[in-house]
Amino acid sequence: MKLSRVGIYAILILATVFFLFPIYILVVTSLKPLSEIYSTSSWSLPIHIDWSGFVTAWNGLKLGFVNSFEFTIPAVIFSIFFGSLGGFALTKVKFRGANTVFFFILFGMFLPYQVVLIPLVKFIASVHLYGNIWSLIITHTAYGIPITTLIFRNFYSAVPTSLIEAGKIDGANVWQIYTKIMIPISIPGIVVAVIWQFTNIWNNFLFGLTLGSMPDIRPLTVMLNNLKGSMISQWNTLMAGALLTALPTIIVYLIMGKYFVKGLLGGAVKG
Amino acid sequence: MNKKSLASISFVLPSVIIVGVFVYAFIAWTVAVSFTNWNTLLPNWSFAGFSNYTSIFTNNLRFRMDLINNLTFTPFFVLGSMILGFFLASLLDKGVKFESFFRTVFLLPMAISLVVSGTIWVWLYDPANGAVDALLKLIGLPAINWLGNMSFALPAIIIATIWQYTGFTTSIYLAGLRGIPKEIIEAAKLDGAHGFRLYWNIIIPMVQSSTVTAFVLMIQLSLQMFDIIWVMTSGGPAFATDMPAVYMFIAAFKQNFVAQGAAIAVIIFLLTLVVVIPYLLTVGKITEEES
Repeated sequence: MKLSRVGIYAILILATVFFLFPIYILVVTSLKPLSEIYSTSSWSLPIHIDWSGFVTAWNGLKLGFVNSFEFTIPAVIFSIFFGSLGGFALTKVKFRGANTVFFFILFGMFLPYQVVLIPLVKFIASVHLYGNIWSLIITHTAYGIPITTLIFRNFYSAVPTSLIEAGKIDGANVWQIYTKIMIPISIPGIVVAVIWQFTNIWNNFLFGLTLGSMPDIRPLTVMLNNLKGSMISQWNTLMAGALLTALPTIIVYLIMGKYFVKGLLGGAVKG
Repeated sequence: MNKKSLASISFVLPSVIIVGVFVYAFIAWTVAVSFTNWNTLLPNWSFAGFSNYTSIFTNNLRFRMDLINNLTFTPFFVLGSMILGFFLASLLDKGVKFESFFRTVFLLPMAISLVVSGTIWVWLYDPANGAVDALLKLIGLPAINWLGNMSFALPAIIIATIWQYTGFTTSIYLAGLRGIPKEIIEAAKLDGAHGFRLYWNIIIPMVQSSTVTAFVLMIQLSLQMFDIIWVMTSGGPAFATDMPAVYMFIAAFKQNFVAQGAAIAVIIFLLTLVVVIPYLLTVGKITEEES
């Protein structure tokens, strides 16, 4: 496996082409008029830039944008609130059985959602929330708790206990220690959790498919899939729609990629 | 129990209750329903024994095909993304310029919804004017109707999923490689370990925990693969890409075979436990030792 420098770069560039060519096709197709899609190669750049795909896609998807933001933002906030409270309790105010409680929660990270999907829908219907935006907020909050607890547990383990001891000497109670000492130093942990949760909830499809049958709560991902069914072979519209759907998470990723990787590894490598 | 412990338990209690209901109680509910006759629109809790399990294995071929498809898909997807991820991570670890650019590009698909990438890949594989066939024609190969052909549809989806997840395994391995102390590599090189032997005898064993993590995560994703299949083929053509998770969704939510859907879900769950339980036990042991 002794590779020359040239060989290393050649392979990395080849891999870059593999990972980027679908994105390239996505962008160029979205900017072509429909006539060009069938008269030119799909690899070629648009001869005339045409925004009609974006116009059609936006008209079909704009409600999904609103819906997705409407449940993603609260679910991100709630899941982070519960995760940081739990992560704090599990690391800084150790109690007997803390590890058992941690694994009880962590197990949810590896859950195949199929095994909870039927009771979830029945439960949501029985509390009269089917078709209500809160069904998606509650669901995404609940299934986000395992990963946010893990992220904050890992984050708080690295915080020196002396900080808390100092708080105790000053006579602060547990809640004051949490709000006055832990929250302010948690910002990097919160950023990691926000980015990870935002990406996962925005991109989710399965919960939206089972709970979002009503148009006024239907997530963007479900709407994009429906657009695919109604706009068969209108590839400029479909690629414009796909690009619009991906845009919020791509922007977050490109700006905050470092934190995205931390979320990924925070959930993967450390126990 | 002192006041402090009580306060801290109250901090974690909401999460415990929520997870208790949405994870554990719901699993119990699904298991219970899988033993009933609830294969109708209206609930029917009469006891059915193992009949839902026996019927999905014997009554039709679909579930057996799903298992075969999943067993075919899994090694290619899991090993493909792990080997490619390790390989790319090893190259990135050699002190290359523009490392962060390459990392950003490789991980980009992970930031994109599977619905989006599924839609893109359907267009890439389009038999009329898709980019993949255009490439094949360019190098003189015949065009293939990828997603419409029984032999090519599953490989086409495997390629799309490897594209989606390889950045994930690359990141896991890169973190593992960065964790190897430089002195160990230097000492091994002084002892004459180079190239393949350095990797085989030193580096690969040193990143074992990355391998275990990547393996468990990829297997678990593979067993519940749904989104991208639903978007690209819905399990077709002729069930060539059908998977247990797709059948579960159809049975439970489209055909009202609720108990059968629950039985399929329980099987997916049990298969997942086979890899996840040993993993959590090892992680648990490490956590105990640390604390």
